[in-house]
Amino acid sequence: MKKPLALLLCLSSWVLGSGCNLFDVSDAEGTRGRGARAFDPYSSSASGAISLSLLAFNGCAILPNGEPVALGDVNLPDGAYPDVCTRLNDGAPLGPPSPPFARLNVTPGTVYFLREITLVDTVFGQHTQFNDRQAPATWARRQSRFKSLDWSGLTIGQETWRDRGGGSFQRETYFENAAWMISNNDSFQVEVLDSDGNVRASQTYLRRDFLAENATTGRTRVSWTVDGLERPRFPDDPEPQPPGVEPIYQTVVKVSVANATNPFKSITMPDLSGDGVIRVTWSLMPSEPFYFPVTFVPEQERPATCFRLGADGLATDERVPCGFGLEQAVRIRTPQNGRYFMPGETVDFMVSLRDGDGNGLHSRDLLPTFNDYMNGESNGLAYFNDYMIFTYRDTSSSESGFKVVGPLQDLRVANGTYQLPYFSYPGTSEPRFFVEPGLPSLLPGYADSQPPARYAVTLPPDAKAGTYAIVVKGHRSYMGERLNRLDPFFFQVGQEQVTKYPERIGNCQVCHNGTNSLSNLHHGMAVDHVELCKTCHFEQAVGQVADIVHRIHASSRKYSQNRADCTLCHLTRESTLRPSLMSCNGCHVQSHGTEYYDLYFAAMHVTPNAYGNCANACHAETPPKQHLLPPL
Amino acid sequence: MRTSLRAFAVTSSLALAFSGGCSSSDGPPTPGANDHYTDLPEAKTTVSGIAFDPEAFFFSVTNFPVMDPDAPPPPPFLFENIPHVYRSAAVGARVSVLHAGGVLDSSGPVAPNGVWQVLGVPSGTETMYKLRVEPPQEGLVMGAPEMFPSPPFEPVPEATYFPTSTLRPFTAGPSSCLVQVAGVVGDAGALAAVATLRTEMGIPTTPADLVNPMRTGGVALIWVYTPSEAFDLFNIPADSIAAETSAGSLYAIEWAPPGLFPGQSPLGYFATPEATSSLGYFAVVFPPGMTEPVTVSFVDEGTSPPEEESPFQIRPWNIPSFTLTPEPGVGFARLHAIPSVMPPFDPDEEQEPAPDLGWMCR
Repeated sequence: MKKPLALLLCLSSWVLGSGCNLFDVSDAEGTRGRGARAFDPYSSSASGAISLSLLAFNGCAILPNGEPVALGDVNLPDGAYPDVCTRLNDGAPLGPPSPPFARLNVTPGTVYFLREITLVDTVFGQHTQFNDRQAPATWARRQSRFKSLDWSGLTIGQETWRDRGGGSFQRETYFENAAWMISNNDSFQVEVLDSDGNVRASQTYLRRDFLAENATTGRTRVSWTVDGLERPRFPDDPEPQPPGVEPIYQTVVKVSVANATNPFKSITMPDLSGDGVIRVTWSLMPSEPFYFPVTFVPEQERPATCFRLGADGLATDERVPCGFGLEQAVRIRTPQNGRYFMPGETVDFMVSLRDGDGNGLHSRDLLPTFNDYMNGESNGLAYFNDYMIFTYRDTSSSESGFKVVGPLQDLRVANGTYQLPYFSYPGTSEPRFFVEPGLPSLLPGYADSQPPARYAVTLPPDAKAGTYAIVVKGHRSYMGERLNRLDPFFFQVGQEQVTKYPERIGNCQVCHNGTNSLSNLHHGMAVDHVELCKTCHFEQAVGQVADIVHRIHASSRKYSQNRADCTLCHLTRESTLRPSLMSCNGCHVQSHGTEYYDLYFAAMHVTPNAYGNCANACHAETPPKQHLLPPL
Repeated sequence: MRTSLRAFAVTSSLALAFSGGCSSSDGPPTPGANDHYTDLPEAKTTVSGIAFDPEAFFFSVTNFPVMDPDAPPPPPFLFENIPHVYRSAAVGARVSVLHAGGVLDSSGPVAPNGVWQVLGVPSGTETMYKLRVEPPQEGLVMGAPEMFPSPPFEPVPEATYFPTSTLRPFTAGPSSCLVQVAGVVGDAGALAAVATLRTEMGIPTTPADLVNPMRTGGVALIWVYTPSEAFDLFNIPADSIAAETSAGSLYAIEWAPPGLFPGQSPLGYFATPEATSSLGYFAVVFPPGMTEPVTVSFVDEGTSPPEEESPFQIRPWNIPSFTLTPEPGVGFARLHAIPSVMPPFDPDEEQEPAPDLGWMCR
């Protein structure tokens, strides 16, 4: 008893002695360097606990690359874990089940906390009557692996048509409001079992301990999708278009909670070797625990597959064991004049991806191949895996790459155009992926080619002066830890004087602080750089920023602010006064019914469309009084 | 003990959370800080792709057994997991990147799917590189007989393969050049067909003679393919193509099932002195010592029905002429026809950004 009291007293003195204003949110959240000092559990080795992600697909545990995990040498009750698994990496339709072979390694003696548990059950091509929304709901309630949940109150929710690009659309029908979905008192008991099935460690997490479970961010959803469609001819078109083409039907129940808000609920991996299993018992399905086979790999037995960094911050040839974490760095070749790049000059840079202990995850010049990633031999580095997005329905999973944008002062939301008001390489919404999506399974040798760590982007001859950013997006999964990082690295063009973001939106740190900081959520980008989001999210195919940010918060059970108070996030009045179907419908689902139905299906760059400024008189000159706007 | 240490770490971190969470040093990073600027090592480009025998590929396409009458045969594309790629892969060969006639770097042995990678040649848009497939001493075996046993798969006839260069140079502008396609040929295809024809024409020739610098100034094999709908990886021979060369002797290469008539090569190829090939495949033999650039031009003599709507199928196609500098030995080039009918340009249409395909280094 004495020690906790002493600790509390000590803490009090620290708080009082620090002299800081706890309500001052003007300082930035900072990046992950802040972590250890603020007990950021997502700082990997520098923190007190390692985040643990547990994923399952159709009854089998999977690695974050989608590969099913084998049970190994563990005694479990008959039928507790399947001998064969369907591989989501087979694509749609799924192939026949086959014996799994992947292993989920964890480090004994290490303190973990449950960051994420995601459980997916899905079928393809089973509910193929285009107008029968009952059948997929019945499957979810009566036949899926989640049939024992309390499905009372289930309704058909929103139905969305998503532009997949190239004139292809996906219709998604959501099923919402079942009792289990709106439950907030349930829990997940996590137990670590040895190979004989004995419980060696245990911890219980409340569902409300987790921040994220929103479908828009790739979390919990029950839905039925019809993919590969042309646009409907009219609202409630009963025929899938075009006639004669068989679309892809997927029905999915996804239970996913992520981002623990109480990292002090930790669990120490027992000092074991060989195989074991993590058993997760959801209080809403008490008799059907989920099993995640693991292999205990002591820290001293980790192979030397990482690289020691040299004084230049780049990998040397010396091999060292890897640690947890993901840090990103960029080294830019000094501009010709030594101070800043000139328009037309080429920005030549090297990416250096590291673990949290400062070890290189790849050689100086080359990154691991896509097949290295799929085979678990990439030191945890991940690349775009189509199936984790399209089949597993993640929204930020493994897609690593970069984008170069600037100058910062010109970063404004693009509305329905590829003529961006700033320089961007690439000019598409998608970044330049280290491994381009779809190509590993198409182009011969692509999956076995080592992508370079070095890239060169030539600035346009008329590049405006200011501060530019190389935005690097990385994903890593290692020893149970699954991390996303998005970091900007700055360089100057045309002048030495630094320029800033437009500062039209912000304040995310009012809610997103500490363990909930944006650095730890979703893409893993610090709130300081939230104005970079728009540089990728400017079209529906990847989620338009106004739509998805409104949608996430409007439908969130965790968002406790006044949803009509625009001033919380919008720092300028101007930033609130550009209504469009795209930006309003995130909150006001189908605000105009089907009145402007055709606009939803117009291509992003074809005016008019859903991105257009709408009803200026109604919504801008005399904005709705229900909305609290920043002052004039 | 370890657990308690971890617990201490947790507690310490908690304490530090309160002491350091509001540190004034927690401000945003200063944009524009140029501490990322540094000297970088010389820029290198990785070069990778596939090495295959285009003649064995076509042989596989034409001889592929019908496994399932309801299933379409594998398409003649140079895509991943296409059986014809495995059946024609130059397994065990090495691919060298050449500059100014010298070898800059070489790959390891070509994999069963034809894949190879060279890890670093100097980057730049000025330097022109070529590739050369170097067969191993033990020779090359085509057909992947372990994967595609006979029966039902027709064995690919044995051949002696020659080091084969690409005729089309490339520059290594970006840091990776992917899906470079390097052909390798032996004495069972067009070279045998040309040697047979020349012999019949009174010039006793063997396939080895054709690649002997004492006997010829080199042989250029150019295969014209139909327009490709995905990158340049469709590998469908273009029929009814006429060719003309500014120098050297041009032969049209044809094909029929092997053993159909005398004069065919083991793979079924035969040569004619005509200017038109129903395969779009041509050989140009140069006299010894010839080093002046040579231009080979093409005309599509094919027709398409008036109702044809696909721009990829509307004939005639445009086929760019091809200029090369003769070199001893044998070289191979893939040349894709280009649709002659393009969608009308709409000046009011807002353009979508074109994908950056610089990594193809074409």
